[in-house]
Amino acid sequence: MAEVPLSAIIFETFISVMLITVFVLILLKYIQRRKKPVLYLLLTFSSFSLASLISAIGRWLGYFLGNETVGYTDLSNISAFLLLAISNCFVIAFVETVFVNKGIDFALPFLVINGVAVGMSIEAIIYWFSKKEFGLLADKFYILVLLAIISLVTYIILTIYAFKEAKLNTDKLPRSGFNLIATYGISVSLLFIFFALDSVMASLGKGYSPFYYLGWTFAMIGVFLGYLGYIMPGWLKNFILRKAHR
Amino acid sequence: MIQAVYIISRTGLPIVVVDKGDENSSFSDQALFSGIMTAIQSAMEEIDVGVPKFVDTKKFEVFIELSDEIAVALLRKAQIEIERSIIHEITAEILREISGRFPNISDYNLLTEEQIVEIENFIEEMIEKGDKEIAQRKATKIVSDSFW
Repeated sequence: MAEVPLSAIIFETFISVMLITVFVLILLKYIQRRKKPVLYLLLTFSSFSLASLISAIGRWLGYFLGNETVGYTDLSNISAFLLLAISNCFVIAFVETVFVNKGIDFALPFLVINGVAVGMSIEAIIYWFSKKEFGLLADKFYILVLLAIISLVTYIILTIYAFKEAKLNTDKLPRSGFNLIATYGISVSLLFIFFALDSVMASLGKGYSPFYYLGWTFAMIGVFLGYLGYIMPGWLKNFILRKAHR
Repeated sequence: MIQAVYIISRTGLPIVVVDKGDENSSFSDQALFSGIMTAIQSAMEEIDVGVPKFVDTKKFEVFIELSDEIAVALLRKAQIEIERSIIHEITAEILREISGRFPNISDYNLLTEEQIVEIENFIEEMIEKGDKEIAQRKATKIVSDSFW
């Protein structure tokens, strides 16, 4: 579907604002603490928020300038895939640094597969400049499939490690923090599942299906949970500690 | 990483040694280490400053737990992020289990070959458990220091 519904623009703009806000909060945390895991998370959220922003800009352009003869959404989506693959690499670096501690041996397969997704996206972007009509994304459907699979595996690994760590902790604060990080991982996993399902619907000519909106809804929930789990604002800390002392 | 576990008789002789870092460590090295540990304990006891439960060198940390019959000494490579309480717990658990299951252990000549293998297997399990716990609690420390 070449036409861009206004609801899609609103959803994507809203999520971009949310992501950029969390990115700024993580940046402030990094300036305060200068720790490697915070840097990896900062790079994850910078790629993620940039992907969302580019996707939203593509929707805006498609909505106002028309999306048929020049497929703005195709270009923005493929560019977003590229950034999401880069973001996955930083998620893996985060998981390795915090939980796994096995160095490059653990990260290498993920880096290679995400590297393949990056290469495919670059090739598709170059191709778009020679053939700008709407429809590129449907032709390059396999990039999203690859990205969805590798992202799903990445976030499931994060979720499993975070849940395990939460279970090991008797202290309420780290226990709640790791549980929030794990549920953030689940939400982002669902985002990729629903986007893949929406792409299937789009290939049948029924794009912007309920799966698309469900995907973004989980993205919003995920970003909020990520904010609570990683940044852990003062009011949440006080709430958890008060509950623990009761 | 946990390097080695020594079960030492109170006379200073090694009864069972599981060395993950050096599988070929000689008996004389093991006997020397056990002797030195026992000598340090005896000297400390003699001058009435109390029995040491922890010895820190440039290369290793040695955690010691004692019963009337035996001592368990656990060696790990010195690291900055020390999780000493976990290692003390593991060392104490080894001592408790070994003392309970093998009452004749102080006289190591009475242990059968099967019993020695059983002790070695138990120690291997405990080393794995300790390393796992340290790695896991390390994640909490990293995230707490970085974010919370």
